[in-house]
This record gives sequence, C-alpha cells and structure tokens, in this order.
Amino acid sequence: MSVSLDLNNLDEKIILNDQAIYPKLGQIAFKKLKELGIPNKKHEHWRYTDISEPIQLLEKSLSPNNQKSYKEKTNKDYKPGNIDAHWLNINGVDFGENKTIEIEGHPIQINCLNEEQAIKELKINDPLGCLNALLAQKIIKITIPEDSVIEAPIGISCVELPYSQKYCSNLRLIIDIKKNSKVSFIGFYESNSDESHFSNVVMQINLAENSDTEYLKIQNLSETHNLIDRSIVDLGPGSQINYTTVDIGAKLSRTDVEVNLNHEKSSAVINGVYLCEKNQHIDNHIWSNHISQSTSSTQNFYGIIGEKGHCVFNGKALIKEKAFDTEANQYNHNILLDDSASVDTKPELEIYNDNVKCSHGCTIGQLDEDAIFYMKSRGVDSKTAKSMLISAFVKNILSKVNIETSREYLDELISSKLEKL
Amino acid sequence: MLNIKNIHTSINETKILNGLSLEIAPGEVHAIMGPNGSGKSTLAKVLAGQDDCEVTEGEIQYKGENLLDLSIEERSREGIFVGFQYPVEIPGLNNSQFLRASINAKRKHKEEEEMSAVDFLKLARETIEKLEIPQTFLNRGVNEGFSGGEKKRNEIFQMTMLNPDIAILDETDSGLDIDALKIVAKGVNEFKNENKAIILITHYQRLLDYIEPDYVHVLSSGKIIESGDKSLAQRLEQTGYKDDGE
Repeated sequence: MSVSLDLNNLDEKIILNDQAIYPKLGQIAFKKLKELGIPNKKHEHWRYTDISEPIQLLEKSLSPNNQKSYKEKTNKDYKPGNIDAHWLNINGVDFGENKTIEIEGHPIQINCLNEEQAIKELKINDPLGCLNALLAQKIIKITIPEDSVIEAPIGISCVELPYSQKYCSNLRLIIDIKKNSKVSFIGFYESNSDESHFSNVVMQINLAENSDTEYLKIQNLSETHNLIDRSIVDLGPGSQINYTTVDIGAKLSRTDVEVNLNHEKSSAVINGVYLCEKNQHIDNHIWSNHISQSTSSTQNFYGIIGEKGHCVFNGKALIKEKAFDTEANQYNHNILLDDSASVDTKPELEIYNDNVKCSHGCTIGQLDEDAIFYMKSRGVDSKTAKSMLISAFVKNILSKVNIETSREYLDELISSKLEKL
Repeated sequence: MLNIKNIHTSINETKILNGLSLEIAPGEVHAIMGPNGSGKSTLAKVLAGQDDCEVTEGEIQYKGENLLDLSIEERSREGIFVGFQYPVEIPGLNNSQFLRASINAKRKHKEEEEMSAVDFLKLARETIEKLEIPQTFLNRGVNEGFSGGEKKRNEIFQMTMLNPDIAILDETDSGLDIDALKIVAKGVNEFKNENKAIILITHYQRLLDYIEPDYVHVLSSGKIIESGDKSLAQRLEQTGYKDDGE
C-alpha cells in the first residue's frame, strides 16, 4: 500500500479549515515537510514499517466534518496504572498560559506555548515531526528549575490529548531540566477507546549541566491504535539520562529516540523491552550522536515476539571527529516464540576517530529447551516454565528501571501480556 | 519403590540401554558404576523423562504405577528427583523464585496449601546453612555463573528442599574438591532414611567412602553385568572396568 497524503494543498487545507492552532509554525513545518517528503518504504529508516494507515487516519482527521474539541478526560484523582507519581494534568493548561505547581517544595512550570515561543523552542527535523508541528493542538513545556532533586516520579499521561480529536492527535511536549537537578518521569500511553487512532507524539528532553533524569515510557495502547513517538534528547555537560521504553500494546508502535551528546561527560542509557503478539508491529529506532569528547551511550533492547508479530530494531551510534574517548554499545536480543514471528535488527556504528571503545551485537533465538526441561524436572509445568523464562529475559532491562513505584504495575502488565503470547 | 524391567532405549536411533533391570526398595542406596558411554547418564535421563530418550522395550514401575506414562513434571511432583551431571544455567531467573514455584507445584499436585514466601524463606535459609552454602545463592540466577562445584551443591540444595522419595544423583561428585565432596555427602546422608531411596551414579569409588551404598552395580554396554556390595566398588577402583566388564 502506498502512502497517499497529498502535500500540494495540505497547508491550505489545514489553515483554511482553521485546523492550525499555530499557523506560522505550521508554515515553517510545512516548508520543511515538502523538502523531506512523507516517508515510505524506500527510505532507509522506514523500510520495515508501513505507515499507510497512520497517514490515512491523519488525512481523515483533516476533513472539515471532523469534530474538534478538547474534552477534559481526566480528573484530579486520575492515577494511570495506579502508579504513585506526581501526575500532571497537561490538558488543564490553556493556550499561552503559564502555571506553576509545587512538587516536593520545587516550583515546576507548565506552560502551553504561544506561537512565538513555539517557533523558538521547537526542533523540526523529520517528516513526522513536521506533521506534528503543523497539526499541534497544544505545545506543552514543563520546566524543572535549577538544583531541584525530586524523589517521586512525575507522571505524564500521554492519552489526554490523543482523544481530544478523532482519528489523529499530535502531542508535543518539551521537558526542560535545568542544571544540577535530578528528576524522573513516567510517560504513560494507554487507550481509552477502541476506535482507530493515530497518535503522533514528539517529545524534546533538554538536560542542562550536571542534571540527571530517568524517563520511563509505558506503552499499552489498544490494538487499533497507531503510535509514532519521537524523543529528541539534548544532553548538557556532565548530564545523564536513563531512558526505558516498554512497548506492550498498539497495532503499530514506532519509537524514535535521538540522543545528542553535545557536551563533555554526558551519557545516555537507552533501554527497551517489547512484547509483540499477533499482527502487531513494534519498531525501535535509536540514534546516539556523539558530538563531544568523553561521552558514553548504551542501547540495550530485549524483545519477545509471538505468532505473526513483527519487530524492528535499528540502533546507531554516530561518533564524530572530535568525540574522543567515547564509549558506545548497542545490543538487541530477541526470542521468537513461533515460526511466523519475525524481527529485522540492525545495530550500527559510524566512527570518525580512533580513540573510541565500541561494541555491538544482536541475537535471535528461541526459548532454551534445556532450561524448560530442567524446570519441568523440578515439577514446574511447561507454560509456567516458559513464562518464568520470558520474565527472566525481560528482567535484564526492567531491573535497570529505578522508578520503584512502577514495578508492580510493570510486573502485572508483563504477566498479563504473557498470557496472550 | 522403583522397578526397572528389561529397559531398552535409543537416542537418535543409537541403542544405549540394552536390557537393564534394577529393583530398588525404600531405604536402599544403590551405586551404579561403569565406564564412559556405558549408559549411566541415559538411565538418569530416562527416569527424569527426557524427550530424546526413547524407551523401545521394557517397563518401569514406580510406586506401583507405570512411570513412563507420567510427564516430566508429574514425576517430580510424585517424588522423583534427578540431580543432573550438567545442571542448566538460567540467567535472570532467581534461584528462590524458581525453587518456590517448584515446591508449590508439588504441593498443589498433592492438594496441599501453597508455601508462603515467609515460610519458604525460613526453610531455604535453614537448609542452605546446613549445606554450608552462602545465603547469597538464594538471590542469584539459577546456576548463573556458578562454578561446577556450586552447581552440584545447588542440586543437593534443591533435592533437600523438594524432599523427594527417590533421588537419582548423576555424577554429583565429579568436579568437586574434597571439601565440597564432603558437604555434598553430608547433605545426601542427612536426606537418607528408611523411606527414601537413592541411586548414585558415579565413576569413582571416592564418593562411596562418604555415602555408603547397600548395593553396587556395574553397567556396561547398556546393562548391568555385575552386582555386589561395597567391596565391588573397591575392587573396581583397583582393577578398572576392563577386567570386569569385557
């Protein structure tokens, strides 16, 4: 199936129909989009992922008959997954408004950007990001002030905006962490409808000098949901991020993480777990750009793929001329549970200097039959043995998540998914 | 308790056991010795129920039932424990989590109440101390990164925790230094009583200095060619298998 979005009058279509909340930003994004084109399977980064359906849903959402309304879906007590966190109500902030809320004694700003601010802040460097900017309904910026150490995680429910509009939604978030701050976030993606939907999410995470953050994405969308989720992480001197994506649901889930190690001694750990069942498609594209010296990045992705599931991993580290004393590793391990399960995996290194320490590798295999026999010989039935082995496999990643309040939910989520595999 | 009658097996169409018969009563310790390739480990595999060991002839009665009708896990739950020569490493799977699942599978089968995490931990700690195994064993992955000796001690730990009726220990002494051998032997001796049966599969008489067998059998080309008491093992140690077996 080919992608059919007609770019010729897309800008007029959106602006004439009063679809654009940010018309000037939309024009900039549209100009860039025309240069880049809508991705299709001929593009290297999209060769394994067909985005016809998301694009069709996006087109449908542009119809003048499509309702546009911001429904207040959440109430104050909304607590996704029953996880203890400071859950933010990003929908409760109006256009141009700047709210300050206090978390553990620190003033956290939540700002819904106006057009001028948005043009200044937004990074628009890829086609889906252009579409997101063109159609953005709210651009939210969360600012963590300097020297703030926040113990409990800050939760962001990424389903608040998706269902504000039918067929397609475009959430854009900027998380700005000022220097010497330490904070963790949970990005929570869960559907509250079974209608076909495309969420095009872009998140920019800026870490200033010596800041330290953990970001945990939990994606358990319905099987009618398409998600393209792009994170752009910019790391300041001595800053670090521990990013984990847990992909369980959705019909199509594409995660792009672009990490820019622009400054000395910055480091990034990008980890992921994906559990993919019947006719699901889960794609992770991770890009670490080592620009400055003494930087490190690690990518570790573990996947379980059931009947007719298809997954993609493309991890890349680009190490520039001046990025001496760099360490970069990429690993992807997959277990296929069925002959019809498949994975396309490609760890890549592109190195332009000699003083680096790099490694990469991938494995694709089945559950260890000897281990299953051993467990059965101790009385454990085959189904429990397999489920224990899978849990042990994904624990390689989940044990690196430091957000303790998420643990119980993650364990339950994984167990209930295992029942289906 | 266990009655093996004229068993023939093949693995990938190669005949291994060739008319092996053996009867074991509660309270007895049987040692099975024999040269490499005589079929000792195959016997352990057959009793455990490993799929690739096809029994082509003969029968095995266990507590009056046909053992070959039972699945691998049913055999364990019915009180059969096989300590393997090469225990598998299962990275990431916590030793105590695995063992608790194992104990509770057996309890459920016997229609008994499941063991709580607290009771399990208490029992595990007591047992592990008796076997002179570090407490950290409990939180490590199953055999993950264990030395050969640690793996064997872990098998004895599992045996003690599962409290089977019959234990088949396949070369549990190989790869052990003298101190580890003594610990393993102590574990087996403490397990031994008038209701339990033990089959020790070994190459060496050394283990039998610490665990006294009631019977010693020599296995050659897939069947028992000679049986005797402890003195048979001592004679084999001096003369080797060649004079006896062939």
